[in-house]
Amino acid sequence: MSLQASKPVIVLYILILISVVYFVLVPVVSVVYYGISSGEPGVVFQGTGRALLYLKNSLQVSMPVTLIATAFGLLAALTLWRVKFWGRSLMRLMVLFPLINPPFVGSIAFIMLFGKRGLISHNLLGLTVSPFGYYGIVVMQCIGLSTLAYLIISSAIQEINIDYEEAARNLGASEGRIFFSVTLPLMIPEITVAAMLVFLSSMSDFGTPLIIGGNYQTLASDLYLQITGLYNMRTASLSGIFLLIPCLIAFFIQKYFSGRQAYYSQSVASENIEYTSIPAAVKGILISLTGLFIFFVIIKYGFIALGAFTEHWGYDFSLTLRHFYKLLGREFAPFINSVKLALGVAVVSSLLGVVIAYLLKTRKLFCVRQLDFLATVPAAVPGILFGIGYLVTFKYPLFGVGRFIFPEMSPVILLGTGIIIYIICVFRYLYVGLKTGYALLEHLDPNLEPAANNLGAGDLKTFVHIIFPQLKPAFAAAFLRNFTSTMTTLGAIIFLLLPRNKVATQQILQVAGSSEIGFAATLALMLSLLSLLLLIVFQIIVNYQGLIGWFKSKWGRVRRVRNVKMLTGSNFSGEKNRETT
Amino acid sequence: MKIELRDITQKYGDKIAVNNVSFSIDDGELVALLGPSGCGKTTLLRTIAGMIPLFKGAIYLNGVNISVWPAQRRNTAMVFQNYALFPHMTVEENIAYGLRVKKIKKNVQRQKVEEILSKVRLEGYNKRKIYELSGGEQQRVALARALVIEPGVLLFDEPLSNLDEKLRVSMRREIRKIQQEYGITSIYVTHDQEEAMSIADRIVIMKDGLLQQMGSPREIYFHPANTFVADFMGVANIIEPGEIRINRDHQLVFKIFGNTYAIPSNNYQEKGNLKGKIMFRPEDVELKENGECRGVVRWYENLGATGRVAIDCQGISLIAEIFNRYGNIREYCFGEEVRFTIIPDAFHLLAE
Repeated sequence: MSLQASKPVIVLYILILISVVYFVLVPVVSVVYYGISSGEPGVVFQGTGRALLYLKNSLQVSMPVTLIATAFGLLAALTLWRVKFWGRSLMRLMVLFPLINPPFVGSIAFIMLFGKRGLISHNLLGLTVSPFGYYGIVVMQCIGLSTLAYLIISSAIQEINIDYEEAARNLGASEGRIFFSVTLPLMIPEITVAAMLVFLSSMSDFGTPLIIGGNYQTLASDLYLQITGLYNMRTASLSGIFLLIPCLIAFFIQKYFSGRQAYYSQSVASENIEYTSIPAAVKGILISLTGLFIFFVIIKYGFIALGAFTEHWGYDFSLTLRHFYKLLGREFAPFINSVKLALGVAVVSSLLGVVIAYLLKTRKLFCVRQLDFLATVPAAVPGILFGIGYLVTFKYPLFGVGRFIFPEMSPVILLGTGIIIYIICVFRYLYVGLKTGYALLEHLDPNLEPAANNLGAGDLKTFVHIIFPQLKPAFAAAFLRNFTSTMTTLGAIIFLLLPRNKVATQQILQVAGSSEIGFAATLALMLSLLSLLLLIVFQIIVNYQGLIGWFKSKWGRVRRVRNVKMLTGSNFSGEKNRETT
Repeated sequence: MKIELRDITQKYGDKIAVNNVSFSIDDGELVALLGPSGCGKTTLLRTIAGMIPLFKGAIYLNGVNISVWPAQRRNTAMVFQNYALFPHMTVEENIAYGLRVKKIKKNVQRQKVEEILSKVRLEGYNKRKIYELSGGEQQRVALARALVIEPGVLLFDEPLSNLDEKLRVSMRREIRKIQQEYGITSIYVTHDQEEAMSIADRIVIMKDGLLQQMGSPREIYFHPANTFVADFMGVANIIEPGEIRINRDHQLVFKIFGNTYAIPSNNYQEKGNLKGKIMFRPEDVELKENGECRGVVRWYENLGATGRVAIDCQGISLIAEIFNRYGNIREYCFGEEVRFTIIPDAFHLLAE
């Protein structure tokens, strides 16, 4: 049901519409336009050749990574949710750890093991050649991105309607047949979403190839090098187009697959999704494969932790707190910046997203589908490219518009302030609040607002008193997601950062690229611990409010508390999209 | 196929869902499992299908103990409450699934699917997607999918609860017709007493996991075993007469509304007194000028074909049902004094 929009609502909506066009559409279009209009055909031709070469590398990495990570995600989801075994809840927790880090952090552990002075390559095998390159990238991305696939597929597994399988069993199908003819086809939408996101993340990850790629660079890392090393924005934009095309293709393929079919029954959640009879061999294989994946995760974090306490990895293995003193003494500012950025973005972006979702779903407005689409676009655009878009657009005065009005005015780079970083992140993650908002609104009584109006409350009062309290769970879920995403983001903001508002991820990348591997490990460890700590605090706040409410009116609020849990739970186990670089 | 349940007990954690239930079903019979939600009827049905492992007891199919058989082997076919039609398959693929699993030849499959589609009146629906179908059509596909594998037992789990009233009535007739044509032994779970009465050969009434009564619809309606059954099946007037005496002629003698009634009894041979309640149905109360009881109207509701009058008689309330035949329609108002009589044979003892 849609209500007539009042004047202030329309004004607000137009403002939102303009800003989304401005901060999403314009940068993306700009980068494409800038890349194509680079002047002489020779330059374009040359740039294209170079881009195609790196595109081949990118695809060579992304294809197998997508396949392997999605398969591992599926395996882990099946094992951890549908097979009963000892230690399962611990494994469910461990498998999520890679989420609180940018994906390239695994590379630090990789260097420690396989680098020039790596534990395995140097000390154990005595190799002199480094195994840096293609396989390293693929392995590290697989470890980092399987978790992403796991998250999405496990949400599908938890929502599965067990009746379908019961029906197949009832009709005489064997367990294997049920899995392949019923269970798996029903999960296709989530599997394609997972595969798409893994593909996008892999395509846009420039940190891993940068650190451990050696001579093997991908389109994304080449983009980074072109801008930071060669200051060649035109070629970078041109390469950006080639990075964008496969990402958009993946995005639309996925839309086609999951838009075509809406399988979820609204029926009750299945309490018992575990397989009652499962052959010991199958069980063993599933558990050991998942165990292997978790083993990699443990290795990764274990070595990062070890490295953080080691004097000089590869040369001097004595224990030290030296790196921590250094970090806390001189290098802590980036962490403060990261937290400030993540908090600010999480609040603004989630709130805005949820409000937009609410307006779009309840009001008669124009350009609804267009706005929804625009807000979702950043999910498909690699962060680094989005960043270049901002660079191209906003280096001109008046938020970039000046380019057309005062072409001869001297360019003001990036507004000269830190605000642009907040803006790019807010618009980049707008879709998260939008999606959680949609999900919640589906269960919200559409007559709440008319009821409040009917009792004499105005628009604003209704929103503050009635609607927002209902939307809080969606906000909380989006908040937690956006907080983690912003804490670990790098690609989108790396070109927009000034020395004084440097963030932790950027510092990690810089240090990991240098020889100070111990310090890099310390930074990575600190970032993980900090994110973890804050996430725990937020979880407590979210649930604590619920607890108070529960004590106040024992039954009245219980439902909402459960909602918060459900949605915030989806932060770790349910939502569809997560941006990584 | 003959089904026998012996001492079935099922537990969810500490909660007992089905408590020591035993009964048997004859070949070709349709038995309705009836009870309020949470009474264990669906659990019992799923136990028979093999979807829930048996906690205690035994299930026999034609004398064979199938208690530990996996669901696949049991040769039961279920029609689910939400139909559970595979959403990624067409109507045809859904129906053929059970046949495909059994590795039946393609052309035989096709022929059987056609046959069953015409049986449930869905000719030409082969290639339709599930989400394109209405609730009633989905219901028919679910029935067809279960019927086509020619199961020994057909299980219905509240199959009509998602349909509207009119469709429910016509679908239940259709289900009954097809069930009788095929002569398939069936178990039908429902919480709707009217549905159970209209469709079943026999009804099993359950409450809190316990079997309350099993019998034909008529038996259960007129001779309920206890207060719960009496109250659950339609509207019942249940009155405590204080003392019930058994006289020389093995009749039960009791006094209500200032009158003494005597009804024959087969179960009580010895003289004496007993405690219990007396039940009679509203339609057995007749409002007439020369009735032996007097009362005052508390409320009246018109239901169209019939009407209900609540009467207060010596501090006891009872409900009478009147029939609104054309030319014989009368409205009652609050406080009006009426006389009524109760058909003597309608009294039924609910012993304690």
